[in-house]
Amino acid sequence: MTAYQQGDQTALAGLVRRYADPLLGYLTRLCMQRQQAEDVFQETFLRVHRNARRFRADGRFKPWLFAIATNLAIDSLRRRSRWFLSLDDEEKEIADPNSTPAESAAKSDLRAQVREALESLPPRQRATVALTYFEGLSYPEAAKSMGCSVGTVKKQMSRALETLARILPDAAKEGAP
Amino acid sequence: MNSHFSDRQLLDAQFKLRSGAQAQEIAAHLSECAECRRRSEALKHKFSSLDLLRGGVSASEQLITDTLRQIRNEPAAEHHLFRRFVWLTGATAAAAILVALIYTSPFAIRFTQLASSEKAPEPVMQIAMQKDEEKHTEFAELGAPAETPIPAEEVAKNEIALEGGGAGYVAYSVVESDMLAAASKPQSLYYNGVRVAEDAKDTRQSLRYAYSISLHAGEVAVPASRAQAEWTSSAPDNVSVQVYPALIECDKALIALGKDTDKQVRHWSVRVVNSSSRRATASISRSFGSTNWNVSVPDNAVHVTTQDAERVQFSVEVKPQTTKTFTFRTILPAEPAKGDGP
Repeated sequence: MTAYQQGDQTALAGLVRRYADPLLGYLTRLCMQRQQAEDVFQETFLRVHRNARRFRADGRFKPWLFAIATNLAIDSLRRRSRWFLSLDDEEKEIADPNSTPAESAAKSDLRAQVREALESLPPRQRATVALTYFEGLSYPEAAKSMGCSVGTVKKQMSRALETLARILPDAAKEGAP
Repeated sequence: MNSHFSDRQLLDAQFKLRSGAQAQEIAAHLSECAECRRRSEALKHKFSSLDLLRGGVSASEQLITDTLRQIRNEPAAEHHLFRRFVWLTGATAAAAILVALIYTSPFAIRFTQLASSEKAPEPVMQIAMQKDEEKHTEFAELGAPAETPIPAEEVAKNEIALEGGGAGYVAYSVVESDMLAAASKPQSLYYNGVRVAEDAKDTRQSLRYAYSISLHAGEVAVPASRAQAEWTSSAPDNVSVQVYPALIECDKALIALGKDTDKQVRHWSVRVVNSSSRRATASISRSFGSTNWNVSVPDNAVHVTTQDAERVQFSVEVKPQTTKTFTFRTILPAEPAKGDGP
């Protein structure tokens, strides 16, 4: 990012490629819809380009990038009148060659239940889980990405975990062939 | 071991949400209590199902190429900065003109008379504006904002008595010009609301006043810790439900001034638009995440259908091709002056 700030126009392409998968993964889990996630993905990098000068060289790029993405995604979810759309079908599962069709079907079913559980969380709780659990950000980094205090992130996380504990399927029972 | 930890406590410990001492206490308990250890393991196993959603999402080359093309087609960042500079200059000029217009209006003269030799209550406004910068999330998910049915004048007339009798309001401050300028920013969602504030610097001359304010959906005057509350709604097709804040009383401005405020009263406007050709019933629910709250719906057409310790649900029937707007109030404990509070 520092190289881009200093005028290296190719540096941003490197950043886009480097963070494309984690960012799209995060946005897909947050928006629960692939097309919307891709729209926010593009807008996020446009904002990075426009606000490149605001990035502080002593800061970490990932929380800054995810902060932009989180704000855009939550705005986008607000605009969507019915945000309980199911996660898209485009995210194809790769069949495990070692699994029987019955095992694959059970796993697919379990995965759908987990998605549904995640989808039932309010957007900010979902963002907290996505940032800390899936993206591996620390709570202070997640707080920076969500524009709130560490205490608030922990509260959101605690509530999300409480809800998920109630509605997540039992992995062993449901996933068993 | 007589007492066990709850699932929530065990989860908080697993996900490192507890302070060091609490985490140590739970760890010590787990080493001795087989029952809690078993439940902790079961929870860990349950949450392992989340790993099914890990990975599996990769950005296509097409998406990356399109993104880079869009960036290339964008003007250089400096142009944006220049445009922003031009925009800010224009907005500042517009705000200055607005300030001049308002201070020379008959209303401004009236307020000056009411306040006699008092200075304009700018410091209170500034505190209120600081509050506006806090993030807010809780109510923007139900639809686009709409105009408030409670104008500042009405609030002033009905709820505000100035010291020494009479009623009045202040509709403008220098600081608010920032908000007015910001409201003209394109592609922004804004709620129009009314804020009640109080100038309590000098108790002998304490003044309350209301003024119109534009609240950005992402920067509304609600502390982040309030985001625990959740709105949900259900309605048939072609019926939309919007919830937005109309009035906030007893806010941090008062607390910061050391006023004895023990609760925050917020007026919400609900707008149900029935675009269908049939009568429709919309159901709106608010959960508070605590038991320390109160709510009132001063509208006979709105029926509270469920009310338990942490949640209230009400329904309203709307005629075909009409819009029903009503207000209700939530009463919550006031935010402590500093920190997130309990």
